[in-house]
Amino acid sequence: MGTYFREIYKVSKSIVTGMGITWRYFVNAKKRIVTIQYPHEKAKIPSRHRGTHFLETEKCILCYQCSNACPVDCIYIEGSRDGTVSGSHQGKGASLTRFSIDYGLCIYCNLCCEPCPTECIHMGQQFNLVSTRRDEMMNNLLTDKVYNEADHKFVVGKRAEIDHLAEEKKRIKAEKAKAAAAAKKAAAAKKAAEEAAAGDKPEAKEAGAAKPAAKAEKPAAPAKPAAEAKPAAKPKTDSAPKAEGAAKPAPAKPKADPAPKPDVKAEEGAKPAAPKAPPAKPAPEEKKEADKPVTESKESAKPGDDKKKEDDKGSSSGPSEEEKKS
Amino acid sequence: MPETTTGALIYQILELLPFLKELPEFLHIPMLMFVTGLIPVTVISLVGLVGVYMERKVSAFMQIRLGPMEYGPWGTLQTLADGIKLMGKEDIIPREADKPLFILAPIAAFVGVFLLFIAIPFDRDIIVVDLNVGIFYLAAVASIEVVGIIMAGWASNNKWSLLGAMREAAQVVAYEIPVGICLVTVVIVSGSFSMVDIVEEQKGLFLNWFIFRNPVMWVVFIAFIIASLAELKRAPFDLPEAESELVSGFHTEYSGMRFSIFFIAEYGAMFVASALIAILFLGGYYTGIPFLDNIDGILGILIRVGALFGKAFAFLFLQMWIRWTLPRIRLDQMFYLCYKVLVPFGFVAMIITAFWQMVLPGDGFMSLGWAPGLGK
Amino acid sequence: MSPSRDVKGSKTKMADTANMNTNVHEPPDVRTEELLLNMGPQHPSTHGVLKVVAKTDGELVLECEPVVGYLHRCFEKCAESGSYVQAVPYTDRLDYLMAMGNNLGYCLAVEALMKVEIPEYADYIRVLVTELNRIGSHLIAVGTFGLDTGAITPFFYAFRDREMVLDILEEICGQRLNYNYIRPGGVAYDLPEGILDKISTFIDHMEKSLEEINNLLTYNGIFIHRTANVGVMTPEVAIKYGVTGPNLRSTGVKRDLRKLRPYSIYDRFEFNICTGTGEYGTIGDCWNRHIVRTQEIIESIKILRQVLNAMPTEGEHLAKATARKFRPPKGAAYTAVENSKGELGFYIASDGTDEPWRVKCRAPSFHNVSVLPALANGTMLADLVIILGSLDIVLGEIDR
Repeated sequence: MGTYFREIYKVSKSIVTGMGITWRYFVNAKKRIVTIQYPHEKAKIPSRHRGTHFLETEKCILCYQCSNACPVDCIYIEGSRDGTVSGSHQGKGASLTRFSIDYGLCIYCNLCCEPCPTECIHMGQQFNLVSTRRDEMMNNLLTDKVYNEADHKFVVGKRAEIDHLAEEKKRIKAEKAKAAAAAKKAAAAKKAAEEAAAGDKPEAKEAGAAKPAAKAEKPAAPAKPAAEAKPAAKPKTDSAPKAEGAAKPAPAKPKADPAPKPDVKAEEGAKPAAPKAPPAKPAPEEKKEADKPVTESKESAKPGDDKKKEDDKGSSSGPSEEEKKS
Repeated sequence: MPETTTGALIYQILELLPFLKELPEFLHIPMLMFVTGLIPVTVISLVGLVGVYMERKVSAFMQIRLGPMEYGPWGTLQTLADGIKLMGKEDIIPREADKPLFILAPIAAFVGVFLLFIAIPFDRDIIVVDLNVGIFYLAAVASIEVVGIIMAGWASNNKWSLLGAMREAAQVVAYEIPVGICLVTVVIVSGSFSMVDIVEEQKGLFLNWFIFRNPVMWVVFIAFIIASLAELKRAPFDLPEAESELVSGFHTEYSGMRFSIFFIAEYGAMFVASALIAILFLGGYYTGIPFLDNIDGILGILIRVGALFGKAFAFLFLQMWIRWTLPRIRLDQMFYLCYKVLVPFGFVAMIITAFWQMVLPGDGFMSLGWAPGLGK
Repeated sequence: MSPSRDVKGSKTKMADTANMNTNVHEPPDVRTEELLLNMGPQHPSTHGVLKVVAKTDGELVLECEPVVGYLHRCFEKCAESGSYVQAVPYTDRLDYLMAMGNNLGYCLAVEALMKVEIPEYADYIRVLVTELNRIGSHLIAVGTFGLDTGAITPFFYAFRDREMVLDILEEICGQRLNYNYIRPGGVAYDLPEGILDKISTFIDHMEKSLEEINNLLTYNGIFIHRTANVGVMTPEVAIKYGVTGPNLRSTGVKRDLRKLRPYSIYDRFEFNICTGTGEYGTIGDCWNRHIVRTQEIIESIKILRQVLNAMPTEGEHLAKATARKFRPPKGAAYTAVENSKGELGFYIASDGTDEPWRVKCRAPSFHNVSVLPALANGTMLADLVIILGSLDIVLGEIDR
């Protein structure tokens, strides 16, 4: 009989305790709610997020390392390195006619990005891949817009920042070795534009060990006024030439032959200075894309001065999220 | 026209709607039935709308969520939108289902709830029929919903549904007993079966409410709340639809409007049970403050109806609060709670109350001497 | 459909739920039929695509049998047809709630083949992320077990906390579920800056939150009555079926590979092996399985605290030998790790090429679910769900 009543008492007490907890949640709901109204507000995505891919076409050397590394074989690359195919998408010494990823297969494992010798393929911020048909899941990174605008901005901005950091490093080095100072400085303004355009050495991942070898190849050394020139130059190199000579359907590789491009760029970019990137002629479709990165990279180039910035960015996204949660 | 009796809303409506009198004589009663029937249906639907919204928000806030936010300010129109969506959905009847029963089941469940509303007094005069056996009527009619649910479980031709229906049958049959004991206790105190009389008996200061009438009345009160949760198949007694065990129990196969009729019936029944708790123990439509209760006219009616709705929604909230806190109990534990806890406790409380009424007839604590006859 | 069943008859037997004889005595004049219930593969509480075929008599489960294989995706064959590193993302998808532990188990096996030295810094990161992931996994177990008993709200609290784990892990490796972070030779990337502060904030929060979940769920009277003395597993039965992890420990057997055969750097940390307390019910029942998990969260927090204190501030995160494509020498290795579900073992045989010759995975959930009939036969239908939930199975691992 004693246990009977004790049991009733214990159960009732625990029920009251539990209801006290839910009551506290109910009355403090405003403070404690952790969900957000998704389409209207979006959670902050950390910089390492592995979303859909982003390809820096102009740096691709068509080495197939990414497609070999893919555990599910979802990357399809076509093109040539001997110049027999002239596609409109120029990599570094290679023309690409296709760089497709089947997102119906992709498992977002990041294994494709790690072996890339030129670090030209990255995983972006875009995660929302909804489609009603299976073949829509196949995206050609050369032509399709798999990433949204924000994603594009993020990647481009990030790249500008990283580029800038790399440039800074090099500049300091270059300054130390005063040797070729005079000659280089003369060319600096021109070169910087071209160089940043080429999107030298972005290590999108902090993780990816810096590759000094690959870096050295690039004509990066003289990058003096990188800061000003960068914004203008940032947009894809293929779009720049296109804007320039609208008539040319297949523009020559900017990276491979540095001569023609820097000149054009210098005329346009050096004189009127950085802020004017969109001035070029009305361009084909790619023109639009070119505009956005320009404005964006300007913004991001500013905070980019600080060397630590890159790392800070990663961590700064965290606290706000944490606050929201707690 | 039969002679009118006091408090019967049905005849007042006739006065309010003179055009009814112009109709042929033989249409009077059907038209009256139709008009009076509309009132409970409207109330049930409105209560269903508000109740579903409330349930969603209460559960969301307890679960650190926002709940519906899209339609209307703070998602207030979400339930309406869902109702419209449900109406537009395809009406699916499983091929192997018992078709007539399948169609009839939600109607039977709804009718059960509808009939409950007839005996609920929202005010002295706002009651469809003040039956002189109101409590018996409620106890009897409350079981009709079960018939609908058993029909649904059987007709679905689904093993989960059948199990759910069987659980429901067993549960309701079991909990009729504690509910009956609680009702009898109230009748002992009030001395009347009529719902209006029961409320009128509690008029006056809130100490006059039945829950304060004798020292064991709160036991009956809690027993009635628990038993009503079981009758309503609300958590922790939601065994008939236990979604982690029986998928959705008896309404697994229901969709669209038929499902929403079950849903509305459930919320209507929840409201009736909440209102019943208020009526039986907490002074019904009286606020417990004599000054407010004695106001006449439209304002008085509003206060009294508001008081009842306020109390009912407070208990509605309690039901939700319990649901979103507690785990579900098991079938055998449900019987244990019924037969070994609620029935003995209720029974003892009933006996004590009966003796109390014999020794100290009248107003309970009121008759202990310190405030005699304040309520009357 | 079998309409005529004797509900009343079975109820008399519900009184003693412990070890019900399946030969139920029926009144001679009532015709009864057994009802064959296919629970799953689409059922709210089979935790995925498990199917349980239960022969029931009213509410009683006379016999039940788990049917697995609906999620089979040839993990072992896939792992054998790619390079060693390419198999890591596949291991994520075994026990997808504890992908870090899977990565770790696989990588330890590869490293054993390679006989490669892991940088100390990488070892600390491994323990850090694995224990974080263990907290996340146990939170799911605790939350969904509450859901199985019908308590919905604790589930949300558990998920809120798990979400914090996922946020931290996402910041470290870019994904929330399939991390592909631990690699042969270390971890894929260095920790981002400031993450250690976030982890210490989280574990402080977690301790408080767990107490709340315990008050709301674990020590709730109804919950105790639902779970205590239900599905009692004796140590003998557990060992016979190969049950490991919290399920085995709940029976009182002190077996935790982190202590028994310390791998990685687990020998450097102080923590207890949690066993069933028997505070309520009997040791080895559903409630004790539940309490072991909640206590293991606390032990993981302890380990995390020590890691945060002892961790070097920086260092190599990936051994040079495995940074690129590699070929382990001929041979075979078996390593087992203590995953949140139990002993997760990987056997890898190498023929000297850059692809494994054979990969075999010993998945704990597979063994854990096999004990279900031994525990659930003779209980009630509601208990079957509880027992299944208390075993904390993950179908990705069972079916592989």
